[in-house]
Amino acid sequence: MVEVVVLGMLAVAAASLNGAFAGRPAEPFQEAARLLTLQRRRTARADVLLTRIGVVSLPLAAALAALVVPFGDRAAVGSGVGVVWFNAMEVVAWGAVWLAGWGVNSAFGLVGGYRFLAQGLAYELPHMFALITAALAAHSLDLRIIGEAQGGLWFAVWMPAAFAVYLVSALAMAFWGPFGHPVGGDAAGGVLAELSGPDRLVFLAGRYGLLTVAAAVAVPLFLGGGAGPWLPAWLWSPVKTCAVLALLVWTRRRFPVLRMDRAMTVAWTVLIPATVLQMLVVAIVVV
Amino acid sequence: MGLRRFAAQRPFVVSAADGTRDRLAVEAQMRRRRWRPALSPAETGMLVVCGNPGAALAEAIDVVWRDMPEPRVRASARDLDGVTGGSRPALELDADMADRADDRDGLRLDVLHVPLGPVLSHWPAGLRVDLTLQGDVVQAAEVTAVDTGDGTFWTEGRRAASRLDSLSRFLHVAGWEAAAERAAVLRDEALSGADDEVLAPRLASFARRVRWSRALRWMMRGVGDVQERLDGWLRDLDPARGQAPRSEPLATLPSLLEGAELGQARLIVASLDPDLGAGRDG
Repeated sequence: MVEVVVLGMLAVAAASLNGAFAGRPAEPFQEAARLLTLQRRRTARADVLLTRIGVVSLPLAAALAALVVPFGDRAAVGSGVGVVWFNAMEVVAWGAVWLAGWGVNSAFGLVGGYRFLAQGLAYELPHMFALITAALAAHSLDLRIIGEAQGGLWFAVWMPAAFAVYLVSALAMAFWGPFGHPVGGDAAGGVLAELSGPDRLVFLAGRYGLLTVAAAVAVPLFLGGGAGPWLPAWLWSPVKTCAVLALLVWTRRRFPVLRMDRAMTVAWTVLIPATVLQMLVVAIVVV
Repeated sequence: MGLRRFAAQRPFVVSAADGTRDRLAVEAQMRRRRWRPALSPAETGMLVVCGNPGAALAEAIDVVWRDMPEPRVRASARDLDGVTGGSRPALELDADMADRADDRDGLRLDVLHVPLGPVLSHWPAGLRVDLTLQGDVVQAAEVTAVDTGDGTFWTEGRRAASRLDSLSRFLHVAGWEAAAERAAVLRDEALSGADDEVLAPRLASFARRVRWSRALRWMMRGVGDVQERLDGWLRDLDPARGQAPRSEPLATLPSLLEGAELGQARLIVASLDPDLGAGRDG
């Protein structure tokens, strides 16, 4: 369970880093204090139950995904199908975001929910191909075994297309930075538009949680797991996670938001063929 | 209460058409205090009204204010430390069920009537656009100047600052917060009469950064004349090359918005950035 707790702390650190980029390193704590003392407001004819389910499912999905993330060769739950579990929890997040957007009965929330589903259609297939490519090379769906299978050469080095696509899809699943359209400022915050007080806090925490878990899973998939000199394996994993996470957080400063009415074409005509080709190359090499 | 003192505020800022001066003061104060603005009223209990809203805008602001979560604070533009608004009963709001109609592909889809503005973040002050949406595609748009001023803040001598203000709003809508915040900082430097030798290279480097963003170009391509207008603003930052502003009448707006997706529609409005402070034809 230590792994899950550490990932939770890294999620707070990610929020802090995001604030620090704009000169507000204490932002996550100040925001938490602000949102906890703010009334939970209801919109007219809202579906309160669905909204709550959506809001709570997001951090829950992140936490459940974190269960299978290995630090070195140890994970909270040593699952033989960690890759599938991680992927399944991420699909729970789709439902969570959609319900939260739909349930509040607001046009902006609804638009945000739709945007996330469109985004899912764009990134999910390339994302799954990227996951499968790493699993294929290691002959296993167990994240611990995939991490250990990269003996001398990290998968990121000899399957760069899969790694790049994985990083892009990590941003997309946490609707972060260039993939933040579901919570975009052009729709008054989209899915977030009508979430107030503690609801908003829980939802935002879930989003940082997802981003963190996505960064952490990149380590066994592509960055050699706990392998590295001097430090023990259980320490290398979080260190590498921090590096990936910092990169993901930084993209928000660097890029404007991508709209899926544009980016969808690229996802299907560039990312999918790239990952399929990558998988073909890997399949030929390992078989 | 300790927790509340520790919490940073996040005001929801609404500007009347004549509220530009106030809004700039508020934004500068917020930057000093390291506060961020709220994107929607549900996000916060703090409301800041800039300028003197006319009756119609004041009514819209009141609806939003009553619907904000407690504890509610209404602060004046001059002093953000604010006064508690006291409890007023929340309005009983209701939303109509959606109608249905054929969409552009002949599918029978829900029709939603969604007003944009006059109380909306990163939105031209005083403007209201009533959209008829199917999904997130605009089927029809109706434009109203809800609030107007009687003289613009953005006089000819403040041209670069004016462009930076528009750029800041546009970049927020385009989802590029870092660049938008930079534009606002540069705007305030330009207004405070910063030395040209210091400011010019900063403006040039900012313009380069925005102009060279391939992701931004990609998102603007083919969305009306958005890209041309943005390039025009960036050119105007260079005093040697700037041109007098060309204003496009509000009446053309509906035809530009029809068929656009909501995100595109926001970009189009942001790229026109009508200044209703100048009067009804702004």
